[in-house]
Amino acid sequence: MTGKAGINLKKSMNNPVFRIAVLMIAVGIIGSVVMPGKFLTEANFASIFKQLSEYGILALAVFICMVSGGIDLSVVYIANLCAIVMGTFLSKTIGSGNYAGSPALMIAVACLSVFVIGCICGALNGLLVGRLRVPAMLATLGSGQLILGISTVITKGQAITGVPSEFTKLAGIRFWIFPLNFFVFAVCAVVMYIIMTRTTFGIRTFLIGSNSRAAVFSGIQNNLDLLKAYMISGFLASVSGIISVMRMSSAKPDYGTSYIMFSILICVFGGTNPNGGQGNVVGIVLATIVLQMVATMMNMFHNISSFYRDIVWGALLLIMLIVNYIIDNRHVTRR
Amino acid sequence: MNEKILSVENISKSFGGVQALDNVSMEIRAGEIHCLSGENGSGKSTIIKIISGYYKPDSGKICIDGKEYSEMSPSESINHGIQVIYQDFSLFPNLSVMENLSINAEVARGSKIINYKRMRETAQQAVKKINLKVDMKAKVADLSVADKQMIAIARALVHEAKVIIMDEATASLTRNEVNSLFRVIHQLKEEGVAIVFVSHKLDEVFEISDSITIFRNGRNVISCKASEMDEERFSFYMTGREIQAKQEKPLVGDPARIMMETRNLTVEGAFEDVSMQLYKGEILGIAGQLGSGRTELAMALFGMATIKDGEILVEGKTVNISSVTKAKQLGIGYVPEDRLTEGLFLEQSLIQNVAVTHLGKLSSKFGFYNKRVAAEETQHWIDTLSISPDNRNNLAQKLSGGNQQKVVLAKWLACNPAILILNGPTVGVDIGAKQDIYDLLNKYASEGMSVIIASDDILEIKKICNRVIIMKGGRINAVLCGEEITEKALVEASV
Amino acid sequence: MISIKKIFNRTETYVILIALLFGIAVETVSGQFFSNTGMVNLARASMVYLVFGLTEMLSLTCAGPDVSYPALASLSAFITAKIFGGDSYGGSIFIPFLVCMAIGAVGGMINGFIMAKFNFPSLIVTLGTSSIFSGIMYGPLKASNTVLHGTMAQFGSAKLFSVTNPGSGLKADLPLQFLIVIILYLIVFFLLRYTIFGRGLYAIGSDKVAAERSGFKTAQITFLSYTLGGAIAAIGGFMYTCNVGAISPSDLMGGEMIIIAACTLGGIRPGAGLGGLFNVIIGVVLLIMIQNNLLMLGIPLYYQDVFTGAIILIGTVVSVNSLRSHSGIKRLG
Repeated sequence: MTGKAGINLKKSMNNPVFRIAVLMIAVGIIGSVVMPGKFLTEANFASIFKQLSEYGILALAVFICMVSGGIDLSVVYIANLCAIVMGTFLSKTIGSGNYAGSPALMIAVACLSVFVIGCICGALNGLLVGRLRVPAMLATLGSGQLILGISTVITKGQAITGVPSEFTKLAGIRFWIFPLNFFVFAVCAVVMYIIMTRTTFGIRTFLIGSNSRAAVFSGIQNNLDLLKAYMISGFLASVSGIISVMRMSSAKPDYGTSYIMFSILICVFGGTNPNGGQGNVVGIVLATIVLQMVATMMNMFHNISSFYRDIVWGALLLIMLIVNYIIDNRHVTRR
Repeated sequence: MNEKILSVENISKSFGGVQALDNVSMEIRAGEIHCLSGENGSGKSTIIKIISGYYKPDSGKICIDGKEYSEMSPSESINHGIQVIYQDFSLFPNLSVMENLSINAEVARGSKIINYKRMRETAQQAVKKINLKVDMKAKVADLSVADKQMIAIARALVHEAKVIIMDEATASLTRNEVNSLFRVIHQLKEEGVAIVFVSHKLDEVFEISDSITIFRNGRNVISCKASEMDEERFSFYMTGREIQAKQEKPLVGDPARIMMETRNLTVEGAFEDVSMQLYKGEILGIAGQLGSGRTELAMALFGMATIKDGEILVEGKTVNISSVTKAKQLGIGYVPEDRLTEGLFLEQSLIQNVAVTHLGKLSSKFGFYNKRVAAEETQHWIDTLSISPDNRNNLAQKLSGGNQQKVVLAKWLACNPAILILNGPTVGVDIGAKQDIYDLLNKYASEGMSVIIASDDILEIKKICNRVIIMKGGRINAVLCGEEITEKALVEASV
Repeated sequence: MISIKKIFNRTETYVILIALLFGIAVETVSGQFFSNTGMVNLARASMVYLVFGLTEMLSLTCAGPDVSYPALASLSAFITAKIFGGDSYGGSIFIPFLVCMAIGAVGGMINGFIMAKFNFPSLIVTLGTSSIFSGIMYGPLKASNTVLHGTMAQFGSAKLFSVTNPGSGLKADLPLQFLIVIILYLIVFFLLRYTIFGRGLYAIGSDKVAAERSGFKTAQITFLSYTLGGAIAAIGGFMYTCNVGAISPSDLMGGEMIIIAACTLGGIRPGAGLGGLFNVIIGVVLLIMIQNNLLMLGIPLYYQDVFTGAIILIGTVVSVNSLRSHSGIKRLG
């Protein structure tokens, strides 16, 4: 490509966010061509935005851990635990029929308690990865198992039921094509953006992921920042759990285990470096939307079972890794 | 003139648009010690990796044993008798000494099955050649750095080497070990082996080489006999500019104001009973060979050790420097030994690299990081320290060694420390940047900063320190001052 | 000679100690642990996991964790069972065995190719391929529970030997398949110790660049390692399916955690070239012991995950921190 416009295009392709934006437009075009009149509709987009919040928030959780040089494989289990506690708490208070107070108050109390649980789970991860020096993959794999176990003990392996409608009806609130839980996702994304790019904690997290040894030598308290990062991850997981129980009126210990791979896919798609030190929130948000668009598009072909999607996601993950590698490595000088 | 064994002709190599080697040619002769020098980024590492088959050249050819190659594989290179001893040794820490010694030969042989008897014999022969006594079954990870170096050398001698390339081989050796190494090199020379000795240490280069080649900016700027070269010409070819050898006297500190003091300081496994003082405004040297406790003492003063006994005082008050954070609070900064793994965030911009030590100061009142202020500050340091290229958005990995070291320096100078500790400040730094760094340290010391330099570079210590503490075997062996600091005295006190 | 201090510095010592302690605890409660039936049952329960441990160990040694092998094992076993699992097949057991291995090898090649060519974290790559394998199994192949007949079912129930406990009168059978485990371990042992491939695997795990400089064909070795791992995983799936007597595609899924934990507990450092077959064996045996005997100690079924998770976490922490240096200089970063 020659000429000024050509060079600019090539340079822009180096920016991961730009790449995804291009992809998004491409998917939109393909969708409207393949299913004319049905893809670019209000109803369709409403459905897209309704579904993506749960794992979009989980992706944000995995994102901060990845940036710090680690990963969080326990987010789904934390989310489930929180969903179970939330649902059980509400069904035993508002839903029991003996409750005479304001439902909103109870919901608020339940949310706060669940936030605390999420933070505690995150703190466990942060402690393991930071102070106890366990590799993040092993630590979160183990803690995920432990948290799954706790959920199983609470529910005795069953799904919970009886979540009161005062709570679940909140899922139906909509502003134009955006449902309530999308706003939750949006708020989370905005807050994460501010944290990661505008606070010193965010900058430090990037640096720890980039070179944790140099971070210590520069006076950064790695263990403390890692603790915070994983606690944020746990908190976000709890938010995702609340949304999930609100939308589905039930919860179980091993719901959504495929979300983990999906969250990692979103992170990689969004330009996050799996080794740490690089990534941005905008990429995550765009990647979430694009992947949901693709999922919805596949959904429209009713004869394709949901399992074909697993093949697509797996293949997409590998392809994105390779594409990112090729584009980013063209400019690396080996010394 | 000895016969030509290996030559490279018109070799060019670029990485992603950067020209690492530009039409380079070089001749290596049997029984000759050929020194290859150049600053970081000059291309000397690249040409070695091409000769060893690790990289493939874009154009040009390699001639060895009468054969011409446009590219070689590592196995072919080894089979032609080319052995490289890398700066990081390239040993396998989790394997035994015996395996490390013989594995290259086994792989080169091409057989799929390993013959342990054959490997043991190979290993025995290897250590015999340099009279090395070592436990064959020990895991390399458990060995000292010096022993690892010796194993790397022994390994290179296994395969009937015709050309041995030593890449900064003396970086981690004590004087005694360097002498042993040079004895081995001379022995090999007698046997007709060609030695390519890559080094930037002037004294070694002039001590041992028969011929010298200097690379600069990817080009071979001079190849000549050692007798035709002197120190000034060497510096000129390395940097491309005349370096004024500044003959300033080192700064003298103010003994009335003691900035830092240790009393009977002991750290387990590192050093014991160390009592020393740092005067305000001076550049204090801590000398000593590898394992003398020199590096560990510097680290302990920065909060990176658990004190077993004794105490540290800063400006007269006893302090417990329990962590790096505490050290920073006390106004102490630290430029680490290995900037690549300990000092820099290679994939981050210069702005991040400079800002990291004082992010709090760069925030607005609500705790929000102010990128604009950070960027301006970085620009200030780029200009003050002459860091090039001067784009503050550059990633740290794109800079040369000397400029990278300046970035590490900048991030600490930005904290305005009262005490700055530097561990091996000019390791792997080109001559031009070295002088820049010395000038900087002198400037800040004269303005009141107290500086400690831990270094094994005797010339460096002699040049800028008025007082030196020499460590040996974990204890202070001597303290020299002013006129007492001579090369002879320094060497004698360290061995 | 190995000094006492050195023995206590190694993870293996602690693992064996804990295993013994646990065994004594169970023995005290039930009297069944150290009996011959107890031992045979332990061996039988560990079989498939020991095989999977091999696959995981190959990946851990040179790169990092592999989470795709349960899906690959299920997929290979499913395809094999679909073809050979019916009544109509009465031929030799070797043919379905080899077919299963071949499918596993093909799947392993996909992992191997990507890992050899690019420097991606193995966790993420295998997450992707795991999704692909399970997607193929459930999607186009429409996997579902099916009962096995014919040769495969027979093979599953064939016994190597039986033991009877004189005290309790209980019987325990060691399946014929245990022979496969022994043979596999011998083969892998030979490969790891006596071939360039094996030493190369440790070299790559130790320092990939140094391995290349030493002349190892690192791409080839990595590729082979995952291909072999895939074939072994498929064997594990084959054994499991025959054992159970039916194809349950979802049974093995989710089991990657246990094996990775077992390997780490046993002393294998991911991606560092440390640890060998012995570590795999003690790690797996310890974990299986715990899992199977919690009931024996009176712990209800749905508490198992909590216990397993806690033990894994504690074990991992101890394992990672066990080799402390005795220098006063702090390890950082």
